[in-house]
Amino acid sequence: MPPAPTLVEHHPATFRTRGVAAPFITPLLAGTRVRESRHSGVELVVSVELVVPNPSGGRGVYILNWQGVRSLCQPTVHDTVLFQRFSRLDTITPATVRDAALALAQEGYAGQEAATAARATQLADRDLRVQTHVLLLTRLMAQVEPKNAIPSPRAADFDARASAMLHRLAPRFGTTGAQLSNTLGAMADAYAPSGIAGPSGNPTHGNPTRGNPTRGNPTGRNAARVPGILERLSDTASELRQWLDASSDNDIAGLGDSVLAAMISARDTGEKLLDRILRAADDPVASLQRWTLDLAASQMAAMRCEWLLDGWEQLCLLWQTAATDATKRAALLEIAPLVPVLPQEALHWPDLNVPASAMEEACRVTSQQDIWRTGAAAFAMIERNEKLRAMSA
Amino acid sequence: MGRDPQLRALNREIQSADETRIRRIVATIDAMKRRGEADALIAPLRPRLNALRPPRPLRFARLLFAPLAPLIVPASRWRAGQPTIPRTAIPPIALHVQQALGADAADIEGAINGRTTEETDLIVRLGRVMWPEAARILLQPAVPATWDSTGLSETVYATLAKAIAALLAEAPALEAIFAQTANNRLPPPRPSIEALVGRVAAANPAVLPMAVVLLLDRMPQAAAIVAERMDQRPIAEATDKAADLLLRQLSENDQAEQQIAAGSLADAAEATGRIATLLRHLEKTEAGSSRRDMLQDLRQRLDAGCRARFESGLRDELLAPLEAPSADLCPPELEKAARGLRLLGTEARKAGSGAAYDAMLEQAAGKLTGDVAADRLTAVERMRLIEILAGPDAALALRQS
Repeated sequence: MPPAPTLVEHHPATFRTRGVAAPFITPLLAGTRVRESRHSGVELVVSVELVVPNPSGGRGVYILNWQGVRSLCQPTVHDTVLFQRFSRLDTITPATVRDAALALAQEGYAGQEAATAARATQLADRDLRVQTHVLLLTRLMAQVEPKNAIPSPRAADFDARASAMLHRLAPRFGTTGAQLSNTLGAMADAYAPSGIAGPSGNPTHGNPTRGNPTRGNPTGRNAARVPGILERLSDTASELRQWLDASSDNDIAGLGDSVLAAMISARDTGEKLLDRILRAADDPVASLQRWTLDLAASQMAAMRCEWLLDGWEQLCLLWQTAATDATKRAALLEIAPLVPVLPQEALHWPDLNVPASAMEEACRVTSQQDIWRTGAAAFAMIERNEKLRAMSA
Repeated sequence: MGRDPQLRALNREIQSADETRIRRIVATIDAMKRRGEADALIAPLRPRLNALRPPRPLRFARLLFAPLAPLIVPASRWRAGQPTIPRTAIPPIALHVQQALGADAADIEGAINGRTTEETDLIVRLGRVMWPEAARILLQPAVPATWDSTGLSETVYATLAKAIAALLAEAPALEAIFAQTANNRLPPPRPSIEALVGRVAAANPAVLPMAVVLLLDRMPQAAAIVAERMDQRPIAEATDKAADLLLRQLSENDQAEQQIAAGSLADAAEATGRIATLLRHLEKTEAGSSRRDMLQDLRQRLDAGCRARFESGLRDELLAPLEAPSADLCPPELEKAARGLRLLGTEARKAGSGAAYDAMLEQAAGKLTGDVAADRLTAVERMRLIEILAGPDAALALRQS
């Protein structure tokens, strides 16, 4: 019998200590985040741990390993295996957590619908990375060799000319052509989710034979991760605003307004941040130089938007799958405790002017009983959560 | 049955029709431009339709009477003074309201064209405007032009019209109360319920039983709130009548059993949960010995009906496809059946026989660990099915074996 877990106060200072939203499907694990855990003893041990919201909705969180989670609830097989996959990751970021969840879903652990969606998303992600790489190479050639005609990515000699250009450029950055090529690959992987290769259905650059960002995205939503989430946030905020305005009876003790304010703040900050990331990619020579000097810091900067928006997609999906006033109010009760808290680190991001109020917890929903997500209701919620996994893939 | 060969064929099909056929028959009749005597074909199917609840095209009459559905009974069972509405009254009243609404009715027809009764958000949105308007029209003395077709007197119309008007006027408030429970996640809002009951009692006390039926049908837990006002004689009488009606509706024509037997296993689980909750709350209200006997009888029938539905579902929807050597297995269908069984097993415990469901679920999960299942399903597919039936630990045991 594991010892009873202890509640602790949780005011994350950084995004890493806040953790990454874990796409678990067990109803009682809603809002759980996964993060690296560093224990320094004789030697430093790095493992993963979970930040589990107080199930009553009250103050505090549980910091748990998997055994601790099992003392709180009975997690699904999907969640058990997903945690095992998290434990094998080198680093915990929104991207690595998402990839692990997609790989698991693709194996069928979240059902057939989620498996199909995950496969399509993995292909679309790969295409997007390829297309982003081609785009960066093309922009780099235009910047480095402005007098030469830019070859079409479809041209047979495109790869050879790109490689030659990188080899010529490398000495300026004090590196080799091969290393520069690797750095550019890392840059493409980090920038791909920001959608610099263009929105769904309207790729601005690239060769269809080298990747198709619209593949697996029949919804018409932007296939790139970050603009896709921002679109969802914008749509959800607008629908929520309309619904709240329609009747004063719709809100529940101001929950709707609090959620909406946090949602709009996340969207606005996300849009500003995305704009900065896209502008950085407009000057690939300067960007590549920065990336060569400090790869880790550059990767972190390119992924800031993903860290910022992490956790919001689930909230949007919960709202967008509610059809009637009764189910919308139920969704609001479920969404409110999941609103991601912004860590202090965001205050220090340059030129973003994130208001200090954004650091505060948006709202709190305490519940005296868990009937709505235990017993028969739990089965329905697991099925619903699997559908959300398919929608978010 | 008339000479129409299509109708004769449908009539033959109705005999011993299964769920799929009933859905097809209803869809065929709904698609007819002039239904006429085809409506008579549906009449014997009504109890099963109430349980199956197939999506029907959203017509003006269905939209108008949507909030009053629990009160509607066949004309043969309707008696003056009972808190019910005869089905035959619907067409003339709907036509009367439609004509009185004029251009607004045409707008409504446009909005519901091609939509179905499953679209509850649309029904509520249009109803918020339409139901109070209809209430105003029905309070006028004019009798519908086609009222004769009901075979009921104009005096009966006057009484029914007043009752329907009072209920339609409160329909948006009732929807708002239900919305406030956030799908029954929050307790029913006491002040709103008391205000609604108070308004109906003041306007037309005779309608109170009907209003309580509508309230309890959507929110059985509201029984406790209404019961607290039982010291007021009209409310006590109304609650008594409403409880009688709800219990009678479940008892007559094996309605409780039919609601469990019809539809999917998940539908059966939902019906079981709803009926069990209603019985539990009605047990809490003060009742005479005949009511207690009726509740006891219904509980036993609910238990037997659940056992029967569970056993047939397990046999036909899960084990038979798994054991049939030639059948192509569809994992999502098997998962749907397994999930339905688990849901039904969980809800059915409220009526009794808990241990029996555990044993049957474990037995079914055991079949999935055998070679037959291993040859036809992937390890992950089997694991998911075992997890649904017997829980994650049983499924993880398969993964570790």
